[in-house]
Amino acid sequence: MEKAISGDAEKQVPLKNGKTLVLRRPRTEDAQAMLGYIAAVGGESDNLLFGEGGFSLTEAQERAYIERMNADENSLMLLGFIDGALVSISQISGSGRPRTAHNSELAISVRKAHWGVGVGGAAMRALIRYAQQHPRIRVIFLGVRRGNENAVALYEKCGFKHIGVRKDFFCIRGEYHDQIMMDLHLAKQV
Amino acid sequence: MSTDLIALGIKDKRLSNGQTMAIREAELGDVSVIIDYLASAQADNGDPLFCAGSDARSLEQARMGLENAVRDDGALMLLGLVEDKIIAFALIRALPGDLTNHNSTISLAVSKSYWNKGIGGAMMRGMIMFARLHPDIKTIHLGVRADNAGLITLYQIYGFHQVGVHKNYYGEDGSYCDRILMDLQVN
Repeated sequence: MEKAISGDAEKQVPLKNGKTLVLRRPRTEDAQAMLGYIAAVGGESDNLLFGEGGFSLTEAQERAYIERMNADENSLMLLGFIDGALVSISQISGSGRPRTAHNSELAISVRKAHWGVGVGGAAMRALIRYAQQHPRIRVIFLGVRRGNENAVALYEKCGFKHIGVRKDFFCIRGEYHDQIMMDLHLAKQV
Repeated sequence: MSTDLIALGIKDKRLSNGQTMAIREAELGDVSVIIDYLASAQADNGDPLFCAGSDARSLEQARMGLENAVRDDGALMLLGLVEDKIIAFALIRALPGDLTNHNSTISLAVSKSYWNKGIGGAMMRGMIMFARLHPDIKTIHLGVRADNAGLITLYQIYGFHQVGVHKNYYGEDGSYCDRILMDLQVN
């Protein structure tokens, strides 16, 4: 089986438009680019957990967050670059708590200009591979806005199943939208 | 922090065994004791949010999570005490984020020897009132072990309904139990 991305390793993925996606873990020097990304990506669609302007972290806080994520043996954060520009941030986080340590949560975003060329699918596969090879993770959970059909289709293609709906979970410009909850149970030996 | 508990209808409760349970808001100084309480078999309902493992890292995470919740204006953490000993823990906390901060989650633990004395109900009423009076909170989410019929019934009494199921969410030593997800619309 292909190995999960670890340490400083990079993975190059050919995209449908001929460009190459580079996936790797964040480094502290990425903090500024990540803050710029977060500030921009929330306003590009109604699909994320945050809106225009993102959320306010200082660069120092973002650096500390990167260090925490990279040190956390139950989590993987991945940055995706095309031609050196940051176009995707995704992560999978294990709970680490006793009794629920086999559960994890996945979140992903892609800059709108790079939708439809396979960035999300490549990041999903890398995160799922990490979970596959993790000693404890057996289940991946994610939530998606009802109406975000492209994302739901991608998640279904990856094997995620619908497990419930939270009414009015998102409030976007005063309008409420449901959240579809999905689980992927990994086929693993106990 | 420093919520007006009287306004929420939260007051000491006389128990059927003659003891009195005091209810107060948790403070930063309580965090160590709360971690021990939630890790103890006494409080075990299978779903305490901050139940730590024995390793230093997960203890530190539990400590940070609890301290942040104590400081958070969108949260209410209640302790039920009999003779100064914790016998119940309850936390309601709004989710972060502009698009989702009208959602909140509840976590509840009552010591086994104090089950069926109305303590869970007293905690639930306080938390639901906190949510009703909160300017942003619209929905309460919670998760509960599928094999804890008593707790599921309690949540249903307070109006929660099932919105989903995580298969095999709780597990230890190869035996798994589902997690029922429940919601209550409060505002």
